Amino acid sequence: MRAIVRTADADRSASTDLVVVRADEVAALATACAGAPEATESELRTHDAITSRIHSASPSLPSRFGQLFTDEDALARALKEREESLRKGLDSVGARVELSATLHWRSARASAGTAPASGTEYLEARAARERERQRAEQIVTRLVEQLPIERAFARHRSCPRDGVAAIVALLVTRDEVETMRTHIQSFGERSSEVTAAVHGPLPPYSFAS
Amino acid sequence: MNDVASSDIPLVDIVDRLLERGVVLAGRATISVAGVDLIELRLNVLLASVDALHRVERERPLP
Repeated sequence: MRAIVRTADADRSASTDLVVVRADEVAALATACAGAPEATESELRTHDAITSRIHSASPSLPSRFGQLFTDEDALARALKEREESLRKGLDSVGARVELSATLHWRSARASAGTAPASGTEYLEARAARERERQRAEQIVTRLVEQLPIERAFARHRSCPRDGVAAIVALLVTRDEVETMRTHIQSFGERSSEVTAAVHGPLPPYSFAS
Repeated sequence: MNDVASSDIPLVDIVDRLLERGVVLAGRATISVAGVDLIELRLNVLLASVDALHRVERERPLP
């Protein structure tokens, strides 16, 4: 499966390589395949490109990678079971897009990948990670406070991997994209602790559940 | 109009987004790498990458 759209938008969003499975109010766009897709870079980028194309055509909820249904009937049944919540999800996301801001630490922090040599080192490393996480939370709070956006339209993950303070997802209208990008980049330039890289506009993966 | 495009995203971020986020229907999801099925999901069990599972483990309170 690639994405969920309103049934009324299905024909506009579909292309010849996609199968359309319809319920009353929502429809799923999927690709026919013989087996489970492999999580290769090529397959992931293809899925991302397809969901981006769909969301450019009409409001959609992008699918998590790798969902496989045995046939169109199985997908139709699954769609029917969740139709109400999917319709509400489409209504709340609307035509908005996601901007993704990755906040990188300017200086090296505690690494989670280094095996501690003793119990003391383990506790010290754990405390350092917790301090880093708390600092990242404060930075994200400060960033979001400075953005012209409602808090409900921002989601984040702190310290998702070494070197990254946080990844912040923002749900914005297409008209707000460049303004928001400028705000975030300016925040990164002024910060002594993090730099900011902005990606998007993207399909609203972080707001589709 | 800003077309939705994601070609500028680093692979590591794409993996995070596509394997941990996005709408999940009741169904079956299988993640395979190099021909080996790594994870199979049924119904609405949420999928997490190995990195996410490690993160949850790290953040779990001690008993």
